[in-house]
Amino acid sequence: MTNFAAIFLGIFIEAVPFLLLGTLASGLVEVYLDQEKLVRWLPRQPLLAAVIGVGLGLVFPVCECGTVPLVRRLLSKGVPPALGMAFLLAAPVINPVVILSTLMAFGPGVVFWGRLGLTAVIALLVGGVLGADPDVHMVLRADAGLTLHCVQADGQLLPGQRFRQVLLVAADEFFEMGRYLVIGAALAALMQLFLPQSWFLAVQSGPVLSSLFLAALAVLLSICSTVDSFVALGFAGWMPVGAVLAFLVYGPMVDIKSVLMFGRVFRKRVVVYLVVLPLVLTLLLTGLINVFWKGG
Amino acid sequence: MSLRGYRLFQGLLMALLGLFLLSRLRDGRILLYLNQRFVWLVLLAALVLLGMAQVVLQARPGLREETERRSPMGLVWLALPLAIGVLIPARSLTQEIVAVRGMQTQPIVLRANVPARPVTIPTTQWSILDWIQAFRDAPDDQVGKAVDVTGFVFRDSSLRADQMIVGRFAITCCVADASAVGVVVHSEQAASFAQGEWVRVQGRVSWQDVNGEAQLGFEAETIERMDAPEQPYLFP
Repeated sequence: MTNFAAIFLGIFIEAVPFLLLGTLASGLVEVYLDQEKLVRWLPRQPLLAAVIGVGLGLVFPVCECGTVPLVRRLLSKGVPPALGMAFLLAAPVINPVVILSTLMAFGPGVVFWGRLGLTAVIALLVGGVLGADPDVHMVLRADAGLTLHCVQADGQLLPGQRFRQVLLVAADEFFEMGRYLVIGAALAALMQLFLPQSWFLAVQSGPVLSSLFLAALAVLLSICSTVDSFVALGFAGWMPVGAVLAFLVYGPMVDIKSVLMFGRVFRKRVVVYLVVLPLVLTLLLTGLINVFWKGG
Repeated sequence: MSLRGYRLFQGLLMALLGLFLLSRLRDGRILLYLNQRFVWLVLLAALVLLGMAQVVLQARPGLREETERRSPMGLVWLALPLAIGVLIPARSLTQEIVAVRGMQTQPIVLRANVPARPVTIPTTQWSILDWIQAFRDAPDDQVGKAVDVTGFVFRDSSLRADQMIVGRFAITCCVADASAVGVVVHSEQAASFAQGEWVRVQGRVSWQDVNGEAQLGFEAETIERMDAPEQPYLFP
């Protein structure tokens, strides 16, 4: 029980600052972002919108715990679904904090550029596919909680009142998404206690199997993307480079916590696509790297 | 639950979560959950939680919100980590985890850009992690150097009766990624130490025969039993 408590609280406490960051960003978007201007400025063409979504993490530096509430809020403000979905998948990696931590861990080599490149390509493709229909209701659940403490457009609020509104929105989001963080952390802790890692790591041969097993391990560990590079270093010496990339690319897009959060916000069909499409693309691309990359 | 009641419990829970984190930071037990590099983030989160709690507790529902009802289930979920944190004493991971995660005794890449321990620090102050990094970087240079490390005893079927592993958990991020790292120790008294027992090993680096393979390890001169240290983890 003490091991469960230690792992569960370790994941939870480490994720709380990032969940707070995401919910505060969501509150700022809700209170300060002008919906009409946003809709007017952003491109409606899915692929172009997805390109912007891939790079938006550089402005909103949130990791996987924070992206879901922020994407929900952005979609409710009229942001094109392609942009939102691309941002959802790319932002946990393509943001200043994770770029820096990956660079610190691996240096400017194949893993660093591979992580950024593969993440961008996968987010672009999946974002383009899921956001092909500009109707936001095609991706969001009918009861996605968009009315949850929505702030009425009110220019009369004083700056202090507006800031308090930001914190109220953030508090509601924190509790709504926090429950999935709690459930995800508990599941990850239980799996870590009862599933030997050797089962996952025994499969080192095979370009696709090695990637599949490290991608599965990333889901199982549910480590925040801001620090997963340092964990991946442990595999760097003895697993194929493509498999290490699978850990670093798929893990931030999909893990136990984020899948539970997806389920609260997106339609079932979209959740399945969000889990399966990035996995297939990750295995395909990292498998090719395993076959053709000969080191250096 | 009425919105007013919901806000009251929501604010109290946020304040308690913030205070729980602050208390763990104050007594240092936060390091039983995560790497010291992330302590400042937890402090920031605790302060933000307290600030948000104050705003939530002061919030007065508008006329439109007076009749709004909220489910208390969301509050219950967030109360869970608080309850576990308060009711279950903070302790380090135990031996059972090694059975699930395995023990890493080979030189591994821990942080590619971190050099081995500077030569200015006496090797008797090196941790097990420092030794493993040094074994990776310059194995032959380490033979004969003086060793003084603490760790828990681990033994598996690959070791002879006069061998054991002295190990520690290394945490890169949080305990979820803790990996057991250790070095093989040769001593005639090895069999007298129980699995999981904390020991201090003094001796010298030497090549060991482990299952027919040469591996750098420690030739023990003395091994003392000791209590587990307050901070049992190593942080790469």
